[in-house]
Amino acid sequence: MAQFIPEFLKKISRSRLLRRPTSWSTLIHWALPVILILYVLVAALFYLSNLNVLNDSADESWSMILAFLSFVCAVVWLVYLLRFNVFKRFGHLPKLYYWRQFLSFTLILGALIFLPTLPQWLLTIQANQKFTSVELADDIDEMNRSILLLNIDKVPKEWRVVNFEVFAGEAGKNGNPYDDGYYDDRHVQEQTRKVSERWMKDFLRDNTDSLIKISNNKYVMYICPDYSFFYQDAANRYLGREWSSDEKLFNDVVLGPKPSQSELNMMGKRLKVLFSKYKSTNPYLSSNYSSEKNWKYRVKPKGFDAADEGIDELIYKKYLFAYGNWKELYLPILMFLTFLSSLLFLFRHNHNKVFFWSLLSGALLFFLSVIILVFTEVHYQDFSLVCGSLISTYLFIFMFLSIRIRSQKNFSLLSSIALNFFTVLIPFIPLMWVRMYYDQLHRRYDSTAVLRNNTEYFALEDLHTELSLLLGVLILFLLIQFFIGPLLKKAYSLPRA
Amino acid sequence: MFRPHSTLVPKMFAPQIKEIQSSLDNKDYDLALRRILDASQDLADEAIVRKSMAISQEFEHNKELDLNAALEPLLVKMSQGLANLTVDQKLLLEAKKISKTYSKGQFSLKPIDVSLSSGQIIGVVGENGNGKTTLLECLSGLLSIDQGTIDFPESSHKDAYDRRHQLAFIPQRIPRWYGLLKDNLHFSASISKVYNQENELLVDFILERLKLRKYENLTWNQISSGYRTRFEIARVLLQRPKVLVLDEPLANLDIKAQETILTDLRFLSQSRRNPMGIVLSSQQLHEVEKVADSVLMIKDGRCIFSSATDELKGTVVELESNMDRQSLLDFFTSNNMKAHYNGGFYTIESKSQEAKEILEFLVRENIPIQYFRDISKSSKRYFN
Repeated sequence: MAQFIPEFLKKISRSRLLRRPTSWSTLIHWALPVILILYVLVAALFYLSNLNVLNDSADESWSMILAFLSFVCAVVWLVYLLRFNVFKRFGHLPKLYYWRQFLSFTLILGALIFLPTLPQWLLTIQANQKFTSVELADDIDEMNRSILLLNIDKVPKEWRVVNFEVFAGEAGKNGNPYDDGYYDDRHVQEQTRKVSERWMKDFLRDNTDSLIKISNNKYVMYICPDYSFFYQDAANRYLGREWSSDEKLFNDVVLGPKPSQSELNMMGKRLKVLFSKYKSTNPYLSSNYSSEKNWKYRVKPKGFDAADEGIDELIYKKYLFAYGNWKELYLPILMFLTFLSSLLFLFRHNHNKVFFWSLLSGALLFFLSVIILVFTEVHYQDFSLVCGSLISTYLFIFMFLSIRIRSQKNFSLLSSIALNFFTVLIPFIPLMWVRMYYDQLHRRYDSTAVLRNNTEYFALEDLHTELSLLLGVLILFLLIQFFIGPLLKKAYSLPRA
Repeated sequence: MFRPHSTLVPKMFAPQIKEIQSSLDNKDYDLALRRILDASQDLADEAIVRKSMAISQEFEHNKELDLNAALEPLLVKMSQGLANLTVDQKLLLEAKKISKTYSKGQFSLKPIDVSLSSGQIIGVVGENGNGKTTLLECLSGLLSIDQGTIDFPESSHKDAYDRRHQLAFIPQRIPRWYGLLKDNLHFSASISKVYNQENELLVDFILERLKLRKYENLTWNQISSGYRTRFEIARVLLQRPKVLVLDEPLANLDIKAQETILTDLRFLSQSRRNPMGIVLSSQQLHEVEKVADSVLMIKDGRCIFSSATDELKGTVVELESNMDRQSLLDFFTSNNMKAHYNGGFYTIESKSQEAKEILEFLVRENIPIQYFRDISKSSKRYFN
């Protein structure tokens, strides 16, 4: 196999072996170039295949294959990691050794974990290169207006009306006839909707403009017909501009000046061009929305389904990694990466026996905690508080046992296992405490609807959640060099009792 | 082909040079080369080390090489330097009244004193299951002690981890190595802060010194257990330990390999540049006694004999004879000698007679002798 390794890699490897054994033993000098080559190969394959961003690109299948490849690479790397270990040989540990080790593991594992997301990144880049957000938003707006104008006789021009009758008491109790479910299009069909006082209070706050109070317990709501044939909110949201609402289309188009026949003909031709521009050639069109429109207004221009599918695909690809979507992906990945890096770090700095005992004890402790939670019959609203308190108690016990290593003369399996648990738990503790705090807030204020629809509050909650995870990783990083590492070193060199 | 020794440099005072000369005179070229490599390392002169290695390698390929001629200029060069090198014997390890009782099981190691200095070899002998490994593990910090103290007067490291780097332990079952053997040696040197060219030189040197060069590009599975022991010793030596503890290093080795390893350990412990103290356990009593400065005999967890402190009285010999067993035992009893039959041979004890006198007596009495050995000064006398 050695003959297949490029000469420059061999030289780098030898140089690291003779100069930086700690770095050499992590195999980072091989792992990163190999992963980089994989990234380049996948990227090249993607660009060469010249995929149509308006079609289904089977990126999930690509991701599955790459995830499998990452897993194989990780296993091979882990097997190699068994070979050389400066720490376990009582070798000289350079300055900031623990940081370097942890960073090396995180870097390699991170590169492997992110590999399966590469197809999505590439598609996003391709989609953004081919269609700008302004272009997309303008085209969607133009198509919606054109379809509306070309079918002005078919679309409804009257605002719909919903009557609300308000009753005292809570919904669902004592056979009350009213329905406190969320409002949606189905209710348009109802002539009168019976709701509770509390529901109406919340609903009023969000729909002040559309509701008219007739009497103490009767309201009327006016609803503008849906004129959006293509959904454009995604394109507009990320573009940061106000989108053409149904009300705006009603005012501009339905109530606006009627175009001449020649203008309508031009509009029809232009619509065909735009349909063709966004035409998807997926063998199976998945857009159901167009069918619903068609059913509702009897409007279905030729080529609409294919263009709708193309726009769906395009928006998915363009905004896959936009902030809102990306954070939902990267937070779990960051947690997973931190967890794996911690495990690997512990594996490299523990007696094998201790590491595997820790895994076993971890599983046992988990089941024990589940049993405790089950038998205490915790109410679901108190779950996060009880669970968080239990984990916090564990953390303090583990910390206490870990600190004891400093004064120990003999090796203690219990203390070493406690130190391992502490290392794995600590990065997630700030996150857990923040979630406990917000869960308590939700519990206290959700019923009074103080927090609902408070976007600033939710933005702050999101920010605190993200920051708490980052803080946890930072705390782990600091402790690894100045607390966990030295304790692992001490524990590893203590004689057996 | 080989020139007589008289043509060598006439004035060489350093004892090592005299030893090398003697080996050359007796055509023990292998030993001469090993010793010249040791001497070159003592001088720590890179040019001399490289030259010594080159000659050793050349001789490996060409056994017809005129070694005297090749070594002459080198010996002249080394002579003065070696004469100026002095060796201070420093106390490396001192264990006082250390004892150990396992929480599970009945075995306990009774209080034992061990004192080890640089350049010294201590042999720990005894039957299986009597506490040799326990003692060695206690000394190397693998196992805690219940009572007593272990001091390392020469160690500057207060940290147990750093001390473990200088206190190397080679277990009887050596953990397997992964990857190329040579890479493992480079790795071992570099984790001991020996970098770059110095690392390459040191690894090459140790491979040459222990005659392992042929196997450097092999893997663990491709070498025999004897070579595994040698490679493990090479790896540990690259860490430049102050104390080397070996548990049964001679197990599974043939007689020649045992002898080579023991003499190498003897020479390496007495290095002028990196002297070290060695503690080794073995059941090969005679071989260990040949190289060890002192021997500890362990029985039932107790040190029943220490050659450093205990004086052996009386004469004990081993005898193998095809004479009828009962007749022979009666013969010794009637002549005021104690005799035990140990399966293969007899152990004969006498308070008044020397071994030579016993041998003469046996010859005189026409007792058939197949094997006779004086073990009066050996711990072997305790194996009954």
